[in-house]
Amino acid sequence: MKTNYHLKSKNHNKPGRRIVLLLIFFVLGAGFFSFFGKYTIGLMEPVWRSQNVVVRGISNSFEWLRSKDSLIKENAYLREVVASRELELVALRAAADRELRLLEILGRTEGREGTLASVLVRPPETPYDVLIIDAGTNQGIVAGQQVILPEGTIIGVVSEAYRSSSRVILHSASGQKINAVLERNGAPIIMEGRGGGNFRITLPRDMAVEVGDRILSADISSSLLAVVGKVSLGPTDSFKEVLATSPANIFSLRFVLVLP
Amino acid sequence: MTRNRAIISLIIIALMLIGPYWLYVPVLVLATLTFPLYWEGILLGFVIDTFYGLGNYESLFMRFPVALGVTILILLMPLARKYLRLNA
Repeated sequence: MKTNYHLKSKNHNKPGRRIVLLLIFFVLGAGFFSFFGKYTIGLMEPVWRSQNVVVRGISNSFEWLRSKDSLIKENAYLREVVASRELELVALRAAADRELRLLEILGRTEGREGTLASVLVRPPETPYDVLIIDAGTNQGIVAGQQVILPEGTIIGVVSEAYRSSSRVILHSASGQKINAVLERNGAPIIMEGRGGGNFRITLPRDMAVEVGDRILSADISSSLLAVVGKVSLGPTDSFKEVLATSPANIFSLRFVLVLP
Repeated sequence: MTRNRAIISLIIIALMLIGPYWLYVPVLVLATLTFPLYWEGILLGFVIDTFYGLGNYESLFMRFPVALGVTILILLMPLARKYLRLNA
């Protein structure tokens, strides 16, 4: 039979059905991974551990390719850096001792003993500023514990603890907020994470801040959190935007300390 | 086609385990744009969010942003094909 009109498509409501099916798939998947996600992390641990060993081995095996000349230059540069850092360290140690004595007098000494953990996964493997460390509930880790570098810099907080690993959200993760103090004038500020080890701070126009200023934690330990990297201020702006960077290189972290 | 989808999915899994995010996320997006109804991408998104996500979020949408992004992309692909005439 010849028809001169459009036949009604049988797949007329296909897009609607597709949307519903995909949404159901998403909700079911979200439920499944919310519930069973922590078990899959446990399964992945051996892979991450072995991967760390393999990657380190490969990077070490390429060392011999570097030229002798570049190594001599690098060695000389590093000697200078070490000498400079040693001087700084001596000065800082004296100041730290004075601070410790003062805290002892005031009865506010604070132990920094914690659980040392190795970093299994770090950015840029993770799209967000998240670390997976190799210490979990077996080592007494619980969600909410602070995570610092062995040098004392506060970097994040444990968000989830599994049996033998934990997830750490860095303070620089996008959307995270942390109270801090601007060392230059002792002003309390709120730093907002911007990802990649960076922070954004909004300050009143008249507040003095310069590149290189240190930002300290708001607790009594006053640990270093970030260093001011850029200050932006338009001629008609009421507030200045400050970008700060964590002193820790989050892309090459190997060990962290989880505070009790 | 099915074989290609499987191979690309395996490549994304391998990249996810050993590579940086700026490698496996673009490959995932490209696969979603290339293959029709690439539902495996949603699963891979869930895996990425489970392994490397921020965790502990109240909302399912905030907890699985990569999976949500891939789902939205798959939903938008027929529209894009229609208006951009990608199949022409």
